[in-house]
Amino acid sequence: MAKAHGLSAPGAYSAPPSGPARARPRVLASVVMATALTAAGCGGAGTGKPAVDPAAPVVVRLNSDWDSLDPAKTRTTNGYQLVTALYDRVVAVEGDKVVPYLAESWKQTADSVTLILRKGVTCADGAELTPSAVAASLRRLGAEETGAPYANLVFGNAGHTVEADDAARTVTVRTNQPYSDLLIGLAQPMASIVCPAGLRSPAGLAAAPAGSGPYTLGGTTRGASYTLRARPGYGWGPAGHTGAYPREVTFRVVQNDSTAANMLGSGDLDLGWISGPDVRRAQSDTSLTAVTQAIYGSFFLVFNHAKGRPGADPALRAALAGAVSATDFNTSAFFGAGDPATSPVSPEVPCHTQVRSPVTAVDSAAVTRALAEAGWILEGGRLVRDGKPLTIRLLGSTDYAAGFEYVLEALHRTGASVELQLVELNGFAETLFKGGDWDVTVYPFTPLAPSLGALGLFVTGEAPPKGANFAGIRNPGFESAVAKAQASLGAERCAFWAEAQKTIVESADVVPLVHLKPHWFARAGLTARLAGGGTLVDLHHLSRS
Amino acid sequence: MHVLTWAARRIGVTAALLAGLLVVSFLLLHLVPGDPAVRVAGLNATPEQVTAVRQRLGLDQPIHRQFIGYVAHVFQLDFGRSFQTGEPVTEVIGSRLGVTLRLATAGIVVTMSAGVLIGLVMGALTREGRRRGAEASFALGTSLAGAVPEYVTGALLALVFSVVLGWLPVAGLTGPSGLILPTIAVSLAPAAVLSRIVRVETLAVLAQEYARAAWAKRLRPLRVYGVHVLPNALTAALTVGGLVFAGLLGGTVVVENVFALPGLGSKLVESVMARDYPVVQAVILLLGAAIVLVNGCVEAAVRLLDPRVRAATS
Repeated sequence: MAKAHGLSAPGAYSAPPSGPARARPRVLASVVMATALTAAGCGGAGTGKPAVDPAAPVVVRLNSDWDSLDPAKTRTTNGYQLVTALYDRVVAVEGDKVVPYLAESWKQTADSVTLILRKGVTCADGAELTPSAVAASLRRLGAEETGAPYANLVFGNAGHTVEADDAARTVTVRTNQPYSDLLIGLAQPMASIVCPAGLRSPAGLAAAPAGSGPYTLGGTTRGASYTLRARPGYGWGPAGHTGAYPREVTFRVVQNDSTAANMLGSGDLDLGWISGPDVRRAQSDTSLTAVTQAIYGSFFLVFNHAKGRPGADPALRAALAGAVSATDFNTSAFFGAGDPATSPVSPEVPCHTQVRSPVTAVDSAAVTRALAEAGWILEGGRLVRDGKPLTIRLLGSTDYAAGFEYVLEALHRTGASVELQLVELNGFAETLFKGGDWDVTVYPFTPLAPSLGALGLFVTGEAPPKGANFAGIRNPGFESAVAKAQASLGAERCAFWAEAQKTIVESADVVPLVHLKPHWFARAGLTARLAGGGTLVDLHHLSRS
Repeated sequence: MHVLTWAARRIGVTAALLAGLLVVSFLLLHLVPGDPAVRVAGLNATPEQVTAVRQRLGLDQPIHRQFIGYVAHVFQLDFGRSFQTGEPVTEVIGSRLGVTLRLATAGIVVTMSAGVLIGLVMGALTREGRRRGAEASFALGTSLAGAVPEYVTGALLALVFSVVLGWLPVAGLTGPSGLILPTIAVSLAPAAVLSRIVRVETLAVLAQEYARAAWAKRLRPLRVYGVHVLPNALTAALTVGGLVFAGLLGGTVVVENVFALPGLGSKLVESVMARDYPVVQAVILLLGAAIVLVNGCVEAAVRLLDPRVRAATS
């Protein structure tokens, strides 16, 4: 079973090539949370800017090119963006609720989900999508030979089986241990259902989709634009959605935020995600409507717990956690585009619990006292214990470099000797998940589904290179609470998740800093929803008015 | 030195530079931190899977064997497959080369023609200390234009001509008009630098006795500048043009990003960020080879056009 890291996939962050303000969750798709991004009718009138032509294709920004159109293989938000339009899933998420999609209904236990599939679903090539075909697609996702990087976000880590009954129109997924996040896991983009033609030649899926979704891939100019055409007769959207789909949706690759803001202003783009200082320019354009939704996770400070590392000492972790201001990190890394975090997950996630008051202004005296209690005393401006100075290796990603420079400064002010290693996102992920040399970092936890379960995948289990517990956290209280939550389906589930959040934060194993809010802007006359914690456009709910 | 001997030496130098480029591009994969096999296999891959990938890519071979294999593949125009997308690198490059070629060609044409023309005109206008004001304005203007980075120029041009005036597309290459602003953005700084050099060269030529003799013979200005001044000033322009071309290729990397053009430059940036080493290797090799070859051609052209250079190298 492949294991997910939250980094270059559902959970990871990425940014255009330069500057701290460019940071944005690239991957991390979650699935369809659909916070309404309702741009319709808001603004535009009297601005003098050209109005949206109702018959024209909708043009949406991709902030970078996609890596693969194979739902099981793509690692980027841009890949998931197209995948969610080309493929269907068995269930979907709207708001914080799971809704029917290819499955009309389901029965869930703590370790299984039995889906009853609807009739009449066809693939883009006209073949019928049977329960057996759906099961085959899910089996492929979980198979080791597939090498799907984020299959465990769907099925958990304990192994699973998939069975189909064509006569009863059911597909049953069973996990080897209780995993109550299974249903919401099946709503994520990587669990998109690949049609039989695609399963027969999976290598081709990277560029040639084989789905049953509302769109098919039309014109393609690699690296520049991708045109999707609505499928005539498509009528099995999430929650029975059969609304009109725009005849054509064109995704244009625009890496530069300033260019994207210009294109939105001139009408060359209808919808786009903007980050950095250009957000203010777009906000002041009255022909555009801003839509924001916090990511489901957070950017959290985390220490390496490996033996011999400074972060192995809980008292030191707690003391240093107080030295980093969430407000200042938010300003440095994201131009203030997020909210100070009170939990590893955002308030949009069911069972979110406010377990920490974010540090908005650092109390230096309190930090010094806490460090002294941990045995670290200031001598000549340097923190020492038993005659040895405190040296910390801070691992940072170039995607939000200014944020890490702030953390460097904040930790340095305590008297620690801090060395910052800034690497690009892939190197950042590799250092974390291959057991590299680091003591502290800010991890971009950006799951694609409103679920707490993803957190457990990164902070429990084996440390790298065997597991995805990149910081080597051992927190029996958290593990116990997660196990209980995953074995529960009733109201008590949130109590267990609350306990889990409290335990992991109070031990300073995870120090939530910021819930980033991606800023999307839509031209007047366009109605849309976001999915994936604000990282994706939900094409099932995209229309012109 | 006989022309054939000179040509053989020149080809030898070019070949040595290309060989150096091959070595550098090969070492790129080995000098950057991290394991390429992990990058291909994925962070979740088991040690066995990583080992299998290492074997498949030949990364378990001694480095000299890897280099020999790399060179052999390069000569077959086989750069492997993209780590990121699995597509053959030649296809990736093929799909983007046209855009960069168009931009670079337009850029070099505009740079050379504008740089030479403006430099020549300003040299003529400001010869013998005339028009001090124009000279100062020219110096200030070209200094500014030469100092402004391409991304700033590009952003300003887009803002004024696309967003405010709406005359040209903001981004993309939907037609010939889509190439106008990127070409200006990529050409402005090198054209400014080149025009300064050509002006100085023009002034130097005008100070020569043969130029004074031409004026004394009351030849028409067009003939003086066209026949006597331009060919002599052009030597410097050509020499600098080779260097300008290298800078211009660097500029396309930035300008393609600003104008959302799907060229090699934007792909290079994307591939560096994604650690897609095969694509980075191939693009660096291609751009580097282009610079080496263009400079070789420039040297040959200068030798052909300028008898002084011929004499010096004989």
